[in-house]
Amino acid sequence: MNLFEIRNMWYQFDDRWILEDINLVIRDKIVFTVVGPNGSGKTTLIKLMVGLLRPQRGRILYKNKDIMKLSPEEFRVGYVPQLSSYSEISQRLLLPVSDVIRLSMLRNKENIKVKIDRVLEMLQIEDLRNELFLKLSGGQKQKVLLARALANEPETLILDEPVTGVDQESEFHIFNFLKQLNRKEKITIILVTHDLDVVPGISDKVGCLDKRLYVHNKGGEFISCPVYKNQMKEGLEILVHGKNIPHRLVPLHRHGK
Amino acid sequence: MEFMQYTFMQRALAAGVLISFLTGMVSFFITSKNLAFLGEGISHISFGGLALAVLLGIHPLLGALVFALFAGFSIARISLNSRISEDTSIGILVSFSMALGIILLSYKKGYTSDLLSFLFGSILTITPADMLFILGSAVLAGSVFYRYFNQFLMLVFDREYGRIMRLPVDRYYYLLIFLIICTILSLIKITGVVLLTGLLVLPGATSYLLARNYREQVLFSILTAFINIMLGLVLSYYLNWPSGATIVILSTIVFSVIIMIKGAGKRGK
Repeated sequence: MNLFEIRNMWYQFDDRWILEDINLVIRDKIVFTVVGPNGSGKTTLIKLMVGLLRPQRGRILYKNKDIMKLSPEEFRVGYVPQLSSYSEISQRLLLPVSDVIRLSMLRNKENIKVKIDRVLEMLQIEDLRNELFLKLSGGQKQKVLLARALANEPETLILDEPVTGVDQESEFHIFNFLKQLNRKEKITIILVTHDLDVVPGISDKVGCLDKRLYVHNKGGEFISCPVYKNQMKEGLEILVHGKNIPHRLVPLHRHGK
Repeated sequence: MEFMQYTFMQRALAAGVLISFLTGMVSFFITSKNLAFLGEGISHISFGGLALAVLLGIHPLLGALVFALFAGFSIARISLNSRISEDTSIGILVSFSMALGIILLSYKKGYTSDLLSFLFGSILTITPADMLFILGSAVLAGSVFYRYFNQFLMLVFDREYGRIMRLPVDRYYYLLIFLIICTILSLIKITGVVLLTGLLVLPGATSYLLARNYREQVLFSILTAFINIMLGLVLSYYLNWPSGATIVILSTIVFSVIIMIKGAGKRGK
């Protein structure tokens, strides 16, 4: 089943096109990763997909319906923002972790305590329940925001640079958790990152973004990512994970292309 | 308790009790969401309305209400939908309204004692109509806070996530601004337009230093406002000082003592 479908979408800010003619189909139960250099429009794409921004041209559909016309019950999408550049969170509100999660369930007030317990346990952060969100480390905050996104039992989870500013141990734990979430809970995951190292191990489908989106979806194949040609003379290929092929990133020339 | 025999003190203290709740609650949200400049802006913009009302011979609070509503919602609309920042729009509207007020007052012949009481506060001039307005504001704000407290928390903590949840967060923002306006108009007679910001900010800032979580932030904010307003009113009676100035100085001293004891940098920026 197609979850997200983006058709001929263009987005402009300050008289400049940030995204041009984006076309994308994301099926359910997969991990789709968007890579691209800083300033390539990754966060803008995510904000358009969760309805925070509106495109000037084109459409974004979720289960064949325009996302702006969906009810909260129909749009079951969890969102984890990029913590390092996310200025929305108040630095003056002394909110314990359990209340951060509770506030995400203002629309669905059934079994709140059970749901909070469940997501805290899933992420193994039960001991943070009464801690103030502001006092947590970057990695802990990221896990709490992930728990918040999962509290409403979403069918799709969208994460914007979920491990930026996070220590290696937390990074490892978060990516393992996302993999398990996708395999066991069958949650569709849309992941944005500029860190190419993490892509092969987790992705079923990869999109390279630099105003335009270049999409590849064949498992177990090396794909070329033209947007990185400016950064590496040879360009870069990303290996989308397959059963018998090791996960790695390799420059184009190694394959004689 | 000699002061209790005077009607003006009875009214001032009764108003003080109601205003403490309003101020404490609103101050918690203002400091948590960094809305201090918005509060100051609305209170100063209401000066133009006060001047116009004095010139027209109608109740000054009515003029202030119209200007404050216009200013509050214009600023909110601009900051939500425009490339102009909230601070810039406040700066423009404050200077325009103050300039308008000054020009309007130049047409007023004779002594403008009414206006001075609104500028600097005067508990002697609190009328039964003012009391009714303050009572109405406190009851209205109490009901709204009871019904929408969690929604306001969401707005303050992470407005963007509220939008993704399809919550009408912009509507909550307008509602919060309306409550700030009610508080400002309730406070005008006690502190005056000029000193009003102190009471919008100090209870919330003080409680932030003392509290361990947001529930304590709210509680201590209301308690701080209550103690400072009541003690300030009594002190102003005995010292024969203006009420608003006494309350603000007392609130600042309390805040300064606590920040010295607790340490300024303890909670970060």
